[in-house]
Amino acid sequence: MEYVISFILAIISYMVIDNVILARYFGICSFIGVGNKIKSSIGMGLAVFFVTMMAALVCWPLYNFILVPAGMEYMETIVFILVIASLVQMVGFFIKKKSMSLYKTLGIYLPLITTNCAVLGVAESNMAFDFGRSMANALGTSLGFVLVIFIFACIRVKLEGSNLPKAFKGVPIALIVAGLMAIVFMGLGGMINLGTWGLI
Amino acid sequence: MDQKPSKLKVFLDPLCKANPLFVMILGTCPALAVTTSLESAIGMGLLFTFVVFCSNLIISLLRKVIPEEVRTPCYIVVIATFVTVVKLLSSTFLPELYSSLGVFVSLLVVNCIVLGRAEAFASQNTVVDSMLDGLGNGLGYTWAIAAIALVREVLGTGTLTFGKVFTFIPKFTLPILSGYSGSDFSMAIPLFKSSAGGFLVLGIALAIIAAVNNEKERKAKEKARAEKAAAAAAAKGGNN
Amino acid sequence: MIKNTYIRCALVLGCICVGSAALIGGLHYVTESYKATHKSTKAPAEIQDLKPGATFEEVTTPMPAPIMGDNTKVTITAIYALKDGNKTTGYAYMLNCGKPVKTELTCSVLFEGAATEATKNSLKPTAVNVIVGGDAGYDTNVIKLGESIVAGTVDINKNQSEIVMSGGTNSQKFFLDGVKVARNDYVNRINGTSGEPVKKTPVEDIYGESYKSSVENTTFTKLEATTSHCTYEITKLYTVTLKDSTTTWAYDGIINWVDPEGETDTLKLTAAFSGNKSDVKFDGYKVTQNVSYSQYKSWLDAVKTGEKSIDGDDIIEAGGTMTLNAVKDAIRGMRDHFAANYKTVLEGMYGESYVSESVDTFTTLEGTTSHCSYKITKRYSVALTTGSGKAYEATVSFQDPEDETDTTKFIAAFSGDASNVKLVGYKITQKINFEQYTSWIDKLTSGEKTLDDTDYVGTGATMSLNAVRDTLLAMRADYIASLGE
Repeated sequence: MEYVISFILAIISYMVIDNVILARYFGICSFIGVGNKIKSSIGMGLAVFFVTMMAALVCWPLYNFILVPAGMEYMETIVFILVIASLVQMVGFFIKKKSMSLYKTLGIYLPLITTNCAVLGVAESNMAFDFGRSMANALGTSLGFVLVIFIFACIRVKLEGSNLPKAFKGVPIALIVAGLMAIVFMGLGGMINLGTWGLI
Repeated sequence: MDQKPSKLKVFLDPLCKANPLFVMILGTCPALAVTTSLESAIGMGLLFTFVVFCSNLIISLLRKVIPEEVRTPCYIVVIATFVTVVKLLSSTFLPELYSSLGVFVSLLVVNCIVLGRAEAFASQNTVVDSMLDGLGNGLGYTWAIAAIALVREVLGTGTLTFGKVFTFIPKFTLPILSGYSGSDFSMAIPLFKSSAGGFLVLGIALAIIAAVNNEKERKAKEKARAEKAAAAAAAKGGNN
Repeated sequence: MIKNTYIRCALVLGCICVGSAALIGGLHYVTESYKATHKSTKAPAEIQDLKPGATFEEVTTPMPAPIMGDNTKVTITAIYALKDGNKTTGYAYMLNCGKPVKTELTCSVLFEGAATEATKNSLKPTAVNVIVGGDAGYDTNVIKLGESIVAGTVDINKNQSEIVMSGGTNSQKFFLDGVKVARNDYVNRINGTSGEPVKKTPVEDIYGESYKSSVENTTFTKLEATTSHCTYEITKLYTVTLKDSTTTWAYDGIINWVDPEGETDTLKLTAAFSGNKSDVKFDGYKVTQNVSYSQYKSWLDAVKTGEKSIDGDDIIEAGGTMTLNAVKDAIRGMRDHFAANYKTVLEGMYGESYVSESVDTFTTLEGTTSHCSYKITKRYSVALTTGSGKAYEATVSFQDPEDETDTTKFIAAFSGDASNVKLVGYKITQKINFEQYTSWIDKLTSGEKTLDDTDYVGTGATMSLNAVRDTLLAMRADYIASLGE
């Protein structure tokens, strides 16, 4: 029971307190590029969610049951990125077959996920954890990503209509908004004491 | 057909005009993560330069051999190889740098710049050009994140510390806004050390650059308009 | 055409993969061999931070075995010598102290300067570093405690319950254990190597190699006596612990008498006794202030070896008789005090009916049950006024829920006949964390429960209780068997 509670708390912590974009600096490129379309931002978020979860599911056993016993930890970068790249291809195929419209919405974002720091970042940080914690990390991270992307897209929609100095239009204001969001999320720090589950 | 840019242009463009961070706005993840310390940023920049240089070199060498269909996986494997090389070398010879950069060394694999240069440039240009392009992008990125790190470290901690990461330099701290020995004076703003500060600094930097560019554009437009008007007036005058 | 493309793709990709694997594998080999030959001799940050700028050299002799502190097991994982040129002026320890929550408490401690067994209690660490964090309040309070110890505002010799702050008390207690263990090792390690040769205490001198530690008995009141030969004072009583865990007593004495010239001669010595009230052994002596006629020494030596009796009427040639008589009186006075007051562990258990004890020739009885593995190492035969009894010493090991091996040592005393075996008393000589089984053993000794009761299991610490019970059953079986002999 204690394990389950720790698991849930860990997800919340990774999602909100140590947010993947705002606190851990992963996935910023896609974050900036998502623009102001709410629908596509949700689509992007979902795609990241899928890929992150599956990558975590595959990479952790791969690392702990194959690479480590063989003493080949140094191969992990190549192995992980190949796994992620192939997963993205497969997800792309799958979505194309199942729902053309969804595929159109995601458009170019799908191959972009391969270069999303969040996916590889999660897989890499999971190396040191046990399985439960790595799953909590993956879930929390991807949910946090979706959350922030969604909020961000909504804010940007509002920004479109506002009167900004020309220099700030586009990326600069996006970054400043991100900074303000980061300050907001910082206030949640220390809310949950995870003990050995927490990110060091 | 575009004239092939001169070698010098290939090298200098990414340093200024086509700076990967400030102009193309790529590679932002490490730009926010490792820029809390000037030394770490410079270290990261150097590792990055190594990776982009080597990967450009190899990919350019193999550009005629790699078939179109497996282009991306091949590039990824090559880049991942050099990232692993860099990891092994830095964990052995520069362990403090490696531990301060942490997971972001591995994330060089998915750095948009490296992959971007491979696809856009190295796959279509000669080896020498690709090497220069790699070097240029690397150095351009390095000075860009160093600039951000300089601002963040000085404003955030008030001092510049050297020797912590590159241990062959004796450790010393340059007090600027705080850290003067024997006094508690500090004008440092800790916000800049946090992630929020990183976003703000980068955002403002880009805004400044955009403003400068806009100013240039406006001036150019003014000039063009003035010339047009002068030409029209001259033509009118000529018609008279 | 298509086939061609597939093959080409696979071929190219495969070659690239192989090439990269070769490059990385080769580089990995090179870096590993480089790392092996250039193993850094720098002290790790946790040690260096204790005294920045100082030179620390790793001590490569095997680490001492883990030691059981008051609350937990303490393991010294690394020792570094603080070097000033060629001289060692201190030692820094990396310690691992038990498991407060799920993470272990790790800390590094630095002791500097000369120290001996006698000055040990005034020794405090010059720097402390607590490294790992865990449960709420743990980080801050242990760090605060460490700082107070270094500053001297907290005395680690005090009772632990007086020192720990609320919030993370376990962690603080474990930390204190660690500091004490490090301090003990430091005193042993620095002894004699920090410049002057350190003087041994008289008691240490008497027991030599078998000496472990001694503590002054603060409840002892000075004894004075006047005899026809002298007046003597027994000024101090020490409880001495030997390396085989037995305890003995030692006395400091001052003997005064008037010599033929009318001058008062004073002799100061320390004498040690062991055994039990029916069989007092004189273990030896050390003279701290001598007189001109030292012939008494040969008598004391003879008593020590058993050649002469402590109550004998020996005299020596003229010139030494007075001294000898004075010394005899004093030594007998000490002996009488010992016989009247010293209680062996077993005497404490058997109480009034205790007469004497002796160690049996006993082959270690080993056994393994589903709960533990035990070794019954020693058996005593105890003569009682009401008959006889036997006592056993045993070491019991079992796996705890965290899959660590816990070991406890205890002595248990039995008496009675085969149909009615009584557990008279017990003493735990090596503790473990869960001591709830002691309340159950207390019920056994009071008669409220018997070893055969199956409802013995209470809440908490079932494992240790089962282990101890199995061992007690084995002891009882041997006791019953021995009655038949």
